[in-house]
Amino acid sequence: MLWLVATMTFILMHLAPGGPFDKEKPLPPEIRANVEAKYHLDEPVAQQYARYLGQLLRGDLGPSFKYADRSVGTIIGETFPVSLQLGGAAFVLTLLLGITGGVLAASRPGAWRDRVTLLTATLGFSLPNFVVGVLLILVLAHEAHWFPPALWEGPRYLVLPALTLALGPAAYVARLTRASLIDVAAQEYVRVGRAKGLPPRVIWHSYLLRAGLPPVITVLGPTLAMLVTGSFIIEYLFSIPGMGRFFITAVTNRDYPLIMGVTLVYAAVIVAANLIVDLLYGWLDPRMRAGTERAR
Amino acid sequence: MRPLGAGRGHVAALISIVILSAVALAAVLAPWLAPYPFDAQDPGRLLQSPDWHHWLGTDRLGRDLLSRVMFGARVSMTLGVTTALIATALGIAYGMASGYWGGRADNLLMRLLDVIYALPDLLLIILLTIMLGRGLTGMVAALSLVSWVTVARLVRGEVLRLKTAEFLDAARALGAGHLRIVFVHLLPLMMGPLLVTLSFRIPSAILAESTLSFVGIGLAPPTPSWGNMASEGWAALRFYPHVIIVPSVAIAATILAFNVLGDYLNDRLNPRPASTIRR
Repeated sequence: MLWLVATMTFILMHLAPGGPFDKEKPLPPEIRANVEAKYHLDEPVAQQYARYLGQLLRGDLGPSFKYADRSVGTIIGETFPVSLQLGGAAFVLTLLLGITGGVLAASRPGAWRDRVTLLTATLGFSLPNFVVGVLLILVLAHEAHWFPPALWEGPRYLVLPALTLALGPAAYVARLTRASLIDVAAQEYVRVGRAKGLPPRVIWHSYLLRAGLPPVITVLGPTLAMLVTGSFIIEYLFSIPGMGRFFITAVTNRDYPLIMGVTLVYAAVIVAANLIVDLLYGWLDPRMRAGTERAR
Repeated sequence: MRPLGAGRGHVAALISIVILSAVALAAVLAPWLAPYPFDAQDPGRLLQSPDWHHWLGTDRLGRDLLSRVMFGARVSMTLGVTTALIATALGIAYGMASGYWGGRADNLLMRLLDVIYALPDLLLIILLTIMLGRGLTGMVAALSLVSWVTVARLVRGEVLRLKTAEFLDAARALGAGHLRIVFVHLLPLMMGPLLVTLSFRIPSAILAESTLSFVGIGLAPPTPSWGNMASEGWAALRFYPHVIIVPSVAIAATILAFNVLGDYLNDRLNPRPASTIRR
């Protein structure tokens, strides 16, 4: 999988028109040749590809074209923890808001709290990240002065970006939680439980949540993907020195090794997350352990 | 199970249709309806708040925001609809091929889908736009190349579900060829779910474009897209928030309307429980 992604991005980057050194003032040919030789851009494509894969196996992501003094590995090493903090906070918020919302909505389908949750979820799903972010910055930072509008200098700086980032995925999780719980509630055995007079607490704990929540875990993969794409925009919006913002800058600069490196890291994170989800799901839902049926 | 819920759905869907019609109208009639050309600069009135001359105010270069939003609607709607149509066509072809042939080919085609599906959409779109360029065509191509995947999965699932139906055996017995079976017997049965995905593909394309344009790697600037406008407004957020609010409202309202309409169609047309379509 990772090899596929590496190959795919390599091919895409080499098909792209224009090189990384076209942008700024034109270089004299001999200097240009020197620069290209330094980064092995003068070799045939196949040789570059082999070299790149070889470096990858040794954990070397290559030099950055734009930041001459730093390698892609260093840049990612510096920015990844920042993105991880932001993503982690947003992930926790997503689960908290999403599952709470879904459970609240499903506890009484059709009641006002169901309607409110569904409305909020539709809004959360439809509003672009940057619109939500701008709104929060205008209201909570510029008008109310509760939180700083940008930068990255402590826990207080985490609140707005994490909230903005979490809203879309939380809406998604809430909708699925609700649907899953309502599905379970309609099952015969739940009705039998109710009929024989089990208290609602027991019904909720032993029946609904036990059977209704594990399917929600399967969406954690897509949720993570949403968080990753969201982080490009959020980090740009709030001037956070994370991997996403460097990715955007790298795209603008056509800094190919940096683009490929970041893409690979994202792919690795997602592959790992999906693996964990599969394992977790098998552990939580005994029915899955027997079959070879995949979780999705 | 009161019909009340259904009634509410109707109202929301109706409002969405009204909003979308207004946006579509603005898009089609922009050159005639807009009070100014989208690139006309008025150096005497930079960053004006809404007033009688400029109903929605002006931007940093003194361009009329109302006119720009209308021309932006043209760009966004064209992009959304074209992308959705191309993606649906690609998805139908791929999904049909995969589901109908089955076996090894199916397996291979689906593994390929899994790889694309696992990666974040926006990441792939960005990588593709680097190659395809940042014009409207490049953007539509990049968006289509990513968003057909969902459609292909859906179509394949439907084919597998319908494949063993008796009426297909009957059709075969009567001498129907593969193409006839696919187009006359299978495709019409999927129209409901397909319409639903189509209505979800449009807003997701608009969303992706405006997001990319906002961070400056989407459509190249002279094009008056909503994302570009928001991007320009971002710089003036502190003191002239109307410049970013105007395009943001346009984007939010359009995407919301499409999604509400999609949900409504999903409830009506999709035989399986809600939440199966969409990712």
